[in-house]
Amino acid sequence: MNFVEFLFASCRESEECFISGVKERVSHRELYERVERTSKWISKRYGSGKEFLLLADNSVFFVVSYLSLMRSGNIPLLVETRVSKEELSALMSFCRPVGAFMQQRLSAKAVAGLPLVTESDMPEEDVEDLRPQVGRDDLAAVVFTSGSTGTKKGVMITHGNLIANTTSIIEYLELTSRDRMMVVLPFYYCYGASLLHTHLRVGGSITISNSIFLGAVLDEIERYQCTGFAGVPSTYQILINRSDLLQRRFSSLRYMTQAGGKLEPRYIQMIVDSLPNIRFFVMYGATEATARMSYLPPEMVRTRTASIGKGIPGVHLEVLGEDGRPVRPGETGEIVATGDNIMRGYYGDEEGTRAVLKDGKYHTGDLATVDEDGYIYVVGRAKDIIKCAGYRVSPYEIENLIASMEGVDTVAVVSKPDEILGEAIVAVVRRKDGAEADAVRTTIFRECRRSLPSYKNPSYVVFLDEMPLNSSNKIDKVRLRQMLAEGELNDR
Amino acid sequence: MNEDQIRIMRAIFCEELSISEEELLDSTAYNELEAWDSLTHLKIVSRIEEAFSIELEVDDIIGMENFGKAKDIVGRYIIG
Repeated sequence: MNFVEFLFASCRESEECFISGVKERVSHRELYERVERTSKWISKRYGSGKEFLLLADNSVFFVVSYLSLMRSGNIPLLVETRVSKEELSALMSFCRPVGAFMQQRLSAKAVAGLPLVTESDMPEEDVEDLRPQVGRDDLAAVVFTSGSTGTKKGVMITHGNLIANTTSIIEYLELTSRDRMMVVLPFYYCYGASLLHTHLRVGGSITISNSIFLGAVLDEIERYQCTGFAGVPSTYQILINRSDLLQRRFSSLRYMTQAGGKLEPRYIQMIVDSLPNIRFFVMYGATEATARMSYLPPEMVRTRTASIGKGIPGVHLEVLGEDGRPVRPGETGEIVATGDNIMRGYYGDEEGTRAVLKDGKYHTGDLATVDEDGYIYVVGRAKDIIKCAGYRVSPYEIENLIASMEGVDTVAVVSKPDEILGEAIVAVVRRKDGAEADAVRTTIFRECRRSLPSYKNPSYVVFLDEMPLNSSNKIDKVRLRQMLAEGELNDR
Repeated sequence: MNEDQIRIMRAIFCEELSISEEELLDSTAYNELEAWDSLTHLKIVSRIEEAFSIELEVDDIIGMENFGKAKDIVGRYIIG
């Protein structure tokens, strides 16, 4: 079955609002008609089975483009909007796109040779229906996410993956047509996309907020009478530290979800203490698993605060030791997932795919322990990845950039816990002889701001005379993080 | 706002947005520059608060959508 037909199965004639927000509003029926029209138009013009870049902020344009591409049996390539023009061109030359659906605002990033479709090019009239049948195993979308080597990996998701994960999420969150989700997470990110999918499927609705400052969302939740809110750790940390979230009383909000990295237990505690009537779901997932792999039932958030819970319906989650057997309580192993939501593989990267998909199981690279009752606790990551403001950031890319700067001898990029960002990026630098600390720091900040999107910018530059090395003679990042935590690194 | 204070504001915006003094106009606005996203906005707000020892209210952080408005809003805190 085509995933988009699955999404519209029950609600396509509803006049109820599906997307609301300050800028745009569209009903279920209207959205369905626009997707029907656009998908037929795409089929007639391009056929099916083709790849298309999709680059847009959360908007009706994104939703119509995304659903129409999948509905016509074509494949959207989803990329974050802050990607640089150069990186986007490189990425597209690695794929086989035949066109690009791109918001006018972002059209300066247009890729040479790719026909562009913007808001004003969307079809107004119906054409004949040439759309092919699409099966569960057919590729639905490729979602680009940062890998640990700095290059983006294209996660290949099938129609069946999307149907399976959407069904599971609806079940454990108990979503109904009365639910309205306040969306601040981008749809090009799997967590954001899952909000769109689940609420469309149940005949519920979503409100899009694109404010300059996240604090605006609290009034909007009330104004649009949202029942749900979803965030990554930095979403909650910004709201706790910079808004009056904890003093608010909401008349419609019934639950909140958190995924995309670890939110420190003390923040979770603050939220559940201050907002006792709102159910708080701690969850765990990955793009490679379509979106969601586990959740902690809200009733347990006080007793098992640091846990990511257990596998969601349809997903078998286990923690395996190096011998491939489930670990005993207290031991550390890798989180491994099995289910119909696990990706087909990485686009054009068989080696990378083999490294994470073994015997049909997805090896997450996340290290965890389990308790006596089987609840899972993430303790670290095997891969060198930083999660800053909800984005996956590869230290490697930033190290490469900084290593070429004047006065820098060696650099290692690590993270440290941050009140706002979740994890803040720290550049640990060994200076060349004679280079001055202030000058080097200024250069690093300036050049990083110039070349990197905001979430990849270091918050701190610290110096040391000798990098600690591990047994394989590489820079020992575990030790560096320890030194940071203990205040052994300074800014001189 | 006196000239020194405006100079501090200009320096913060130019640095965080990676633009020159000439490029920063009162009309320079959020989302018009790629670098001015919500994360950068938060950094700008933190640096302004630190520089002037003030704490901006939520509505004012939302209101600072171009450089001119940011100066007006921050100016009210400094005088007050």
